Amino acid sequence: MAAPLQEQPSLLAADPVPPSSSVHRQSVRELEHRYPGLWRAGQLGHAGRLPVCPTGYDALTAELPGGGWPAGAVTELLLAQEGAGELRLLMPALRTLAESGRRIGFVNPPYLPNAAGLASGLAEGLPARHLYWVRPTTGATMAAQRTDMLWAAEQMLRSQAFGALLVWLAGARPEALRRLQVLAQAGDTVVWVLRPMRVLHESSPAVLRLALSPQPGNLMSIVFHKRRGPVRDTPLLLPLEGMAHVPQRTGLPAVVPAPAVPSVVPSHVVADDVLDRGASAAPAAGRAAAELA
Amino acid sequence: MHLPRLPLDALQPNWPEPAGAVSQPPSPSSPVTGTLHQLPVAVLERERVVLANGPAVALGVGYGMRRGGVQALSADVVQLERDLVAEAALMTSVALTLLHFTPGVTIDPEPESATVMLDVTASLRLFGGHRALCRAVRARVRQLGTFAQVGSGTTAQGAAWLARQPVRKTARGIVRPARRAVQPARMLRLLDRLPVDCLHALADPEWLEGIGCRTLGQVRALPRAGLSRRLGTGLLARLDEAYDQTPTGFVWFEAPPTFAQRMDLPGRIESVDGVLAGAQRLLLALSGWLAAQQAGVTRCVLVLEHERYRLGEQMDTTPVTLALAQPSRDAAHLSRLFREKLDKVHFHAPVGGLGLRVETMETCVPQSDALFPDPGAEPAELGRLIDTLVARLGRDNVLQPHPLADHRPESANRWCPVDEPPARPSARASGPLPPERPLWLLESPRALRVEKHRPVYQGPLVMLTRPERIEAGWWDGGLATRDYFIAEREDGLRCWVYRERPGRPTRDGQEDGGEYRWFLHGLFA
Repeated sequence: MAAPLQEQPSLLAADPVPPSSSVHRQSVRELEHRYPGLWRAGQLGHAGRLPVCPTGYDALTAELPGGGWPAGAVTELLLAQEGAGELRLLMPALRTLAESGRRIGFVNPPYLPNAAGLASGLAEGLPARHLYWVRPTTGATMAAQRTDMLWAAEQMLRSQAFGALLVWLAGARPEALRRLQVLAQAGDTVVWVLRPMRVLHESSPAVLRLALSPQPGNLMSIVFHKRRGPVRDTPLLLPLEGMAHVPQRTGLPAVVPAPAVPSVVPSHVVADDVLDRGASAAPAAGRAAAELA
Repeated sequence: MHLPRLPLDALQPNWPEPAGAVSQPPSPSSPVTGTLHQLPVAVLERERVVLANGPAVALGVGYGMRRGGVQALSADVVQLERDLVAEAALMTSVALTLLHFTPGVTIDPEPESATVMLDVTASLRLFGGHRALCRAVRARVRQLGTFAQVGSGTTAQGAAWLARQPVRKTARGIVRPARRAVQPARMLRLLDRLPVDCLHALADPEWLEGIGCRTLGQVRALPRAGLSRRLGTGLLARLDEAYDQTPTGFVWFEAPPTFAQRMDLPGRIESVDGVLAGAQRLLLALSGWLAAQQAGVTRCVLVLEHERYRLGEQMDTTPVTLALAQPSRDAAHLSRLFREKLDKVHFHAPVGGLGLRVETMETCVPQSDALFPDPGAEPAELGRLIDTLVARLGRDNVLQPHPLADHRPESANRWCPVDEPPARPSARASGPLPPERPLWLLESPRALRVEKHRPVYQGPLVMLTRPERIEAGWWDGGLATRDYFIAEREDGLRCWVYRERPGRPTRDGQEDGGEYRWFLHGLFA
């Protein structure tokens, strides 16, 4: 008991200098071993502590804290384009939930969900009796529709009868998202809020915030804007499932892989020590000076 | 269970009932109520006061006082005329509501008794014991906007007498008499101590006091033969029933075969909250009635009766219909659903009365508690959610897929309201992979421009697959002759497009000039 506690001051003292000594690493490892709840901002959140739903994509699982979509929390997906492949990205997770008997709700989707497409997934589709589609009343005003859909999502979350909820909220305010997040924490529903890319600059209470955009060749580029883990500047290029009818290499010019996109960086070699927050975290020195003046 | 303030409560229901009024029935002086209960109120029948509330009693108003006397005491006393019809309706509501607890409910036939008797022998265990049951009964009656004194005992007559014991004001403050007995020995003790006032319907209490009897125990000690000679056999028979020496026969309260009740609201109400508070009594009665029928309501109508503007004009009504996916008898749930419905109702005139009637119902047995409850997957919870959603958004906006075996995608993609029976699962096409279908469909196919022999959707599209030919619908007039392709835009968006084959008349009857026309029909989201 006494030994690690004695080492703590030395760890703190060594903080300003980039720690490199093996002694230091050893002490940190010991601390981690002793306190399993310890989480350093340079690491991804541990698996086992967060209830998650498997994604079905190994490359994505490695990048998500806890190794899956967070359950009992709001995940925000920012879409560069409606229909960018967001449903195919979520399909393995939805299938897992449906297989365990959980219900799936679509709230206010932008297009008609295609029953045939949902039922005929690659291996096994989603069973129809577990799917629910909630849409706003047609005659109502935009504001009323928005209120109705938020209300519906809240009711569905509150009932805890759903295992997954996909909510399309184009013009929702951050307070509304916060309400959803608080409600989601009470249960184990996996909540995805799908919003357009233009709300990127707004603050968000979601625990996970990804930007999705399509890439030629059945790929999807995923940018991690917010996650419990280190900053990752390069987008993840993920090959999506499905589209078995499309020949993989047709020789058409459109299926050329996207140029000038950096290759996938395996996250396990995340810098142990350095926490690079990039340009966004740079101190706004100019503003502070202006306020002083 | 005795209603000491029935004449007043029938005229002025006390919602929302504040909790503070329970302990001090004679002076319900709560600041929250805001109704006439803060004002001195006296109810008169044939120019005589039959009941006065606390503030009025404080002013000196007493039982049997004349109208002129009340007026002389204070001009502030609100004088109400007694309404026996409203009292009878309230008693029926109470009896219906209490059917929730036991099927053995009877209204004491004695005039002016205002007492409902329940046989709870079989219900004690279900509702968690004697005390919990008493609390539940009182809470339910309080929601009706009235106040009840609950007494319990081993015989119905004895319990009724115990329930009717008023609180006494003594020098030490307000004393609540003991009204509950479970063991026969305690019951005997309590009954023996009761004053002879409770026999007022059978004998003159003053005469009994004149011969030296102040309590029931003293009356029982008298020789039976002489007592029956002087007072008739009725008194002794009633005493024997109360002391469990002869069995009692009851005329049980029978629930009417159909439920249709109406009530007058105490004022002219234009708000949803006011209407709901009033509807609470009807819903509670409905809940009790349904429990007696072993059923749950699936469709009921709340009728809002509007005030007439002018004399001679018919009283117009607004029906608010509630349809439920799953039968329910939970008053709180029904009240929530009516709130969603009423939020949308535009009150064009103040509401003066309410009516509730059941149109359809189904048998519904309450769920037994599971030993290991399944979290989040309770069907009742889902049913309640669906009802709430449907009540606000409408039946056509809460949907489930019912795919149809049709080659045309827009026909195959069928979604039906959740309350429709699920379709038989269609046999999955066994064999090679089924054709690829997108996850989004457009509401109606969107015509695409063609540039350099290629369709353009915010950018030229490149076909990735060979055509999938769909030609169907000649039998119902919606002929589709299409070749579907999966196409990709430059930025990677995958679309489902089709070209309509030329050589057939378009819908407006003109030849399309032999040109392929391209449409966007879906997105591979």
